[in-house]
Amino acid sequence: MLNNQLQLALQKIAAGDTDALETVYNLTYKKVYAVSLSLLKNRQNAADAMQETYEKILLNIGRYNKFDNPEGWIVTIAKNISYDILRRKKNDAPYEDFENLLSVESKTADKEACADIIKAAYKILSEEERQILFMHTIGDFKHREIALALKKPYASVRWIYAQSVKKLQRQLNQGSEKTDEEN
Amino acid sequence: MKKIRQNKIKEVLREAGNYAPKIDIKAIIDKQPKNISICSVNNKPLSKNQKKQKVKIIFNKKQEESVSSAKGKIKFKPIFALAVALCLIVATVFPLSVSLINSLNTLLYIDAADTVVLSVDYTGKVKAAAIVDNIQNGQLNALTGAKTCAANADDNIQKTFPNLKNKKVEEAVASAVDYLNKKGSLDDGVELIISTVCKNSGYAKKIADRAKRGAEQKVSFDTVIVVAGNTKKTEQNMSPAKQKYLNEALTLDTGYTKEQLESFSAGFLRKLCGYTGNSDDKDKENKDNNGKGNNNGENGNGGENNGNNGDDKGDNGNNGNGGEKGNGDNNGKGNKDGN
Repeated sequence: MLNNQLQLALQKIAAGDTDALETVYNLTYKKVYAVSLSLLKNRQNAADAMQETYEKILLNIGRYNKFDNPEGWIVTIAKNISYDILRRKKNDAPYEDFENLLSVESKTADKEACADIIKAAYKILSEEERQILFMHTIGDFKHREIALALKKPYASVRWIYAQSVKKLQRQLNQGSEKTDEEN
Repeated sequence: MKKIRQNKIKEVLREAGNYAPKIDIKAIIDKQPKNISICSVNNKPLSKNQKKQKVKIIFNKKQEESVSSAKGKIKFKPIFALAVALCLIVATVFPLSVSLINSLNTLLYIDAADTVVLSVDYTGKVKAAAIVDNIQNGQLNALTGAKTCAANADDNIQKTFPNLKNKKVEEAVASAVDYLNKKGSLDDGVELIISTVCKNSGYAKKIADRAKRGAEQKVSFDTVIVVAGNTKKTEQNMSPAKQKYLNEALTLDTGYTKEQLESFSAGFLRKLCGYTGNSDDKDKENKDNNGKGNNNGENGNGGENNGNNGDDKGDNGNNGNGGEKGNGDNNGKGNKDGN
């Protein structure tokens, strides 16, 4: 259903109706954000990557002819732009604004938990694991969609996701045990 | 502190997704010129058949050709790898083949009243040609002569036989025999000896046969042609150096028979001939002086005159025919002057 909507929107853009980009954005912004955040470790940079991704969709829509895997195409663009940004800003000190990942109204405990989870994810998960975890949770991707976008077997994606969550849990619980012992 | 559950992790991350940064998508849209259609595609989603058609349109002839050529390029990759490997093999084998070629270099002698020496490469082409005069020690000196001539090819050989270079053996021998005929070296009944010297005796014989074919075109009816292909060593299995010193020793009164001399080593024969240093010229000087030493030994006064010769002179003094007193004086003086 979503893919059909996305295909339609992309076809409209290809036909010259650039307003359809708004539909594309509404359908995919979480996904693009998840992919960018998994690579860039920074909310601000992820926002930059999103901006560039949608610009690039408009620019390169003429090259995209098949319309069979629109999400995969957009994810690839987002990944490439994130890598570009990483290359450009490799000398900049990473600005870890993990507490700001949640809204201002969110509970402080949740904010702290989110910051801890994201930090742990960057620390112990591989790039692929982090990508799949973020795509599924932050980006609301289904496992099947992730498999299609990353061109990986469905079962592998599920397994990697489950492993990533387990690793994170273990890491976070170890950390809490240590703080308990210290207290 | 509470343990974190997996669901909590997922929940928090999902919430983070809900607060994804918003970007001004309208600004991006406004940047693009609206009226230019980027690609002419129907607004409707493509049906399966349309997709097939689309694919057909995309893969028109030129594109198909490019795709097929791209596939071809991939297929050729192993061939390129093979070509590179072959180049490497050639690069390593080439120096070996050069050394083989060198080992197959052949010297061809045409002996009559005069001797013509040809240097022949492995393909059977003549590289150098010369007339070798004053052959005292048979073929071996002819060999040396040809080598010398080959070294000075520009000065001597090309003046003598300018047209023989790079000719086939047959043609070169025919020309050389013709030259000898005109010079009068090949009268009726004269034996024309064609011999070749090469590391590979089989190859030497082949070259000699080819030379014979060439010579037969030019010699008169009664001339006898003798063909022989040899390795570098002589038939007596003697080195060129030993042959040289043996011939020289035979001319001297050494007190040994020919058979005894032949059984000696080249080094001993060299000593017998009176050579002691490294270079032949120096040795010859010593040899002359040694002779003087002997004479002086007889007189008993030669020590002073030959003092410059040092040890050599003293040694020969001992071997000389002079009296005991004379030898003693010579040795003493010689050593002093040497110091």
